[in-house]
Amino acid sequence: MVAGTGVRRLQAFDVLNHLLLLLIGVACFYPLVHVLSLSLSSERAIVQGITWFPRDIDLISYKFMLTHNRIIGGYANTILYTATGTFISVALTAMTAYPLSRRRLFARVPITFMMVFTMLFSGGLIPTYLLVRALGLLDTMWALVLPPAIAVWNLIILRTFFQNLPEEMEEAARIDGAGVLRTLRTVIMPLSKAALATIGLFYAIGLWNQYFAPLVYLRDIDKMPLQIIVRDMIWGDIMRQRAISNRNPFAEELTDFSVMLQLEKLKWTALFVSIVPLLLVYPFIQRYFVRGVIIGALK
Amino acid sequence: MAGISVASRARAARLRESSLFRRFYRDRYYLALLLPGIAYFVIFQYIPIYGLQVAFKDFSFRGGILGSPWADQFGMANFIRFFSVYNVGRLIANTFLLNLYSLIFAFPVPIVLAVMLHESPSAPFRRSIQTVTYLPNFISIVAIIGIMRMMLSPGSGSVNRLLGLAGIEPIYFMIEPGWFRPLYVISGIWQTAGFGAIVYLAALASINPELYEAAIIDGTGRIQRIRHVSIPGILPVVAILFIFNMGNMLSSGFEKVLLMQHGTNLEVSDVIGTFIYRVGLTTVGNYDLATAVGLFNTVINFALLVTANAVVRRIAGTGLW
Repeated sequence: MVAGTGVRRLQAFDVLNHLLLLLIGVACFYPLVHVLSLSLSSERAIVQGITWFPRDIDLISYKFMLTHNRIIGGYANTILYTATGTFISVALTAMTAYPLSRRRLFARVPITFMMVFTMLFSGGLIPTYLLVRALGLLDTMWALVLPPAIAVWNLIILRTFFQNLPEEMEEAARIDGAGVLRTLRTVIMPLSKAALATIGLFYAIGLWNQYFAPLVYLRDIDKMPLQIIVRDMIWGDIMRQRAISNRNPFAEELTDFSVMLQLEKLKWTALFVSIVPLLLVYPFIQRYFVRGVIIGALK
Repeated sequence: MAGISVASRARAARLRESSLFRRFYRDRYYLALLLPGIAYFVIFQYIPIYGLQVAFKDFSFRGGILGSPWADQFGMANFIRFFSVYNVGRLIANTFLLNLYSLIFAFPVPIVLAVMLHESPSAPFRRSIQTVTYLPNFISIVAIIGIMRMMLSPGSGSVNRLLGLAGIEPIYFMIEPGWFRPLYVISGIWQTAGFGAIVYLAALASINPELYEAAIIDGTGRIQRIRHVSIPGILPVVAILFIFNMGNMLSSGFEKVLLMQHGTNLEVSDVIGTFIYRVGLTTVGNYDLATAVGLFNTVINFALLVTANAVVRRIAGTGLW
């Protein structure tokens, strides 16, 4: 009897728990579905209201995106910055993590402390800006890519991973006469593909999503990455857009209701276009993130 | 005989090893490999720390960091100006409250989510919910605030449309100051709760299953097992993340605040970070004043972190160091 009620209570708990979790899951991706549906629906359908699925599909805003120079340029810039930055960051982090993974390295503790300390105390916005300016990096890609080149968290993840690699392979490489850099390149890095992919993805997403650094360091409109362009479109930074092109439809006066709706549709499309690369790769990469966080947490 | 000679040889070897120069020489290639990394930290982390002295100077580009003269009032002029001229109380209160509300409302969410996921017996279900809840963490802050702006727009946003169906007048969510903090916290939960749960899930998975079995034999229910096995099991991890949060009480999230800021909600959205940006980089470039505010902020955060660490250490027995 007692056991019976216990079982029923268990089931009630499970049903409620699963329902709540399902609801949370839906809440996490609903806004994205909403964005996609609105960007695909016709203006009339948008006025009537779109909840889940697109109605009366109209791809005109996507066509516009594909032919609009600022969007294409922004995409190209973001891809360039992300690719360059990720390469530099991964190479630099691996070169730094490998020596630090050797437990008996000369001055290992003070060097590690010097690096980890910057997590707790840093110069901050203005001194970094003054440095970037003094180095002559303003309005160049390097201002976006170099200051965040090594993330201490990623460094710790990779160092921990290297520490746990079997030492035999490394010994074998050394006996074969391979130098340190060569051992790192031909033995350690191939063994660490998963860890390198993890930190590479963390860096890549950080660079892809960068918005404040370009806002501060870039002036030239043609160098602006996607995030800045999307921001300008959504926030309707009309002054700036007018400066770019007189024929820019965003810059038109918003007197006409249909123009406003077109603009609305364009904004939804811009939002979706900025998210879609992540949505496409996410299913394949998400397991790496989880592994990264867990390695990092174990420290 | 042989044993002694081996031991003494080993001791001699150890002596040689312990000599600093020997060890340096032995590791020279590794250290050479480390040079670019060290250079990065010196240039991009320590030179800015060195540059913090601008806070005590009357900075001009002609003089640069070193050549600019020290500020008046024993170098404290920038700090004095900050505390006497600007609305410091509002800045500090806004920054602190934003973080306090996040700590109260957002910090527990990933813990609850992790416990709920942990209670689900179905691995495929768990995995699919996890996959979906991590996703928002990787969406750019521009896109998140953009979506929020659009969905909450008084003219065409779906939220106000729903409110309209219920007969409620449109609400100007992004403009009314009263909505700024709730929206900041809620969007923060949406973005980070799922990913934040990973650490707790890992901690839950490492709890000894025998503890659960013993609890079942004792006839405890699910809720009791959560209270007496799961929660105590993850408490050390909770403590560490709590310290990290405390250390950020007067910082963080300022890019997001900047995107949510509006002329009308400045009374609640003007935080230290946006103030530094506005004073230092958007107007005439009050670099020295902005640096002073930044230094003030960093020092307070550092002190908060150290204090939180000491307190948690005493109570829970674990800390960052």
